[in-house]
Amino acid sequence: MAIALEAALVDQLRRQEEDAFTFIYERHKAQIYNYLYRLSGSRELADDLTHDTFLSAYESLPKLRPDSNIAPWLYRIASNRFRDVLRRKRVVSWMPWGDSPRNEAQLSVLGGEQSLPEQEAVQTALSHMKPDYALCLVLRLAEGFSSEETAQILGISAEAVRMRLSRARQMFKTAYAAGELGAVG
Amino acid sequence: MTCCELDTLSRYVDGDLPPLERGRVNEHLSDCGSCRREVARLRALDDMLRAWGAHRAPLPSASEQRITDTVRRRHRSSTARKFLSASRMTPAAVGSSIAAVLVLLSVNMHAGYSSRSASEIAWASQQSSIKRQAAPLLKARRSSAIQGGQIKVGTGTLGRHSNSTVLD
Repeated sequence: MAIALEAALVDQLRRQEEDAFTFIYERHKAQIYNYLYRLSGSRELADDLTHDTFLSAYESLPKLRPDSNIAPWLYRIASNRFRDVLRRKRVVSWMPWGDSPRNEAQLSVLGGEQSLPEQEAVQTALSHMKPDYALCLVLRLAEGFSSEETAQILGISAEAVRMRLSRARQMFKTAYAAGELGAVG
Repeated sequence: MTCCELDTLSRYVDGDLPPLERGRVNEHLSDCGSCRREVARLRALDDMLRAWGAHRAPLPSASEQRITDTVRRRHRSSTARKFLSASRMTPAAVGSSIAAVLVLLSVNMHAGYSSRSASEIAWASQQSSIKRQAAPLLKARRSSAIQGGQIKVGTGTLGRHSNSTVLD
């Protein structure tokens, strides 16, 4: 039933029906914005990238494949927009959480029990990882996609995701431990 | 330091190992403290990232407005484009159809006219020639001047064939 509904939605989207697009926008806007916020660490950049993501999504609706899954498709566009920024600006290391600590404090936490310093530590550790590995970790664990969905988003095989995830965990552990040591030192 | 490959433990945590290998790792973990600790660390790391991912900030209203406005503008222009292209298409299609029909008609008419005029010319020329030749005979018959099956026309003489053909 869910598959049939998704297929019907995709069909409406391919015809660029405004209501269908509004529906997916309402359903995914917070996810996409937070994903981009997590990746970029900047509210302003996340704003811009969310805007670009939905605009690109709208523009590419006629090319949407009939068997597409909406969420991975949107995440793929968002990930590509983020990679574009990395390429353009040569931002090899990401900024720490938020434009300022006050911005982060404005986040309304709807789940999780991490304190702000913990969140910052996670963000900092991710910012020291290679982007492709960090993307894999964020999609698979923070966003909760399966290996197959992550593969679809990143345009690689599911096996490559599993290998990358294993490596990404080690990278994150090392970076996180280094951050803790730095904080202690 | 673990005796298992880190990749194997990572796949174990993800539930990606085939049943046989998973069973072997389970057996190994029951005996190996360092691998157990590594698995616990990996699970703690995953939990931390999941908790981090559970934080959701709402999209700022200004951004939402901007996105909504942009998409609506695009939608309108796209709809307008489709409409305009459709309206442009109709007269163009009608125009080209009319032009094609006119061309076909003119070709047909020209071809018809040409063929008719050629035959007409031949026919008219033949008729004219016959009338010219027959005119004296008709005149003679009207004046009952036919004598002996031969009629003097100017300096020439019309033969039997001409008489039978023309006068019958």
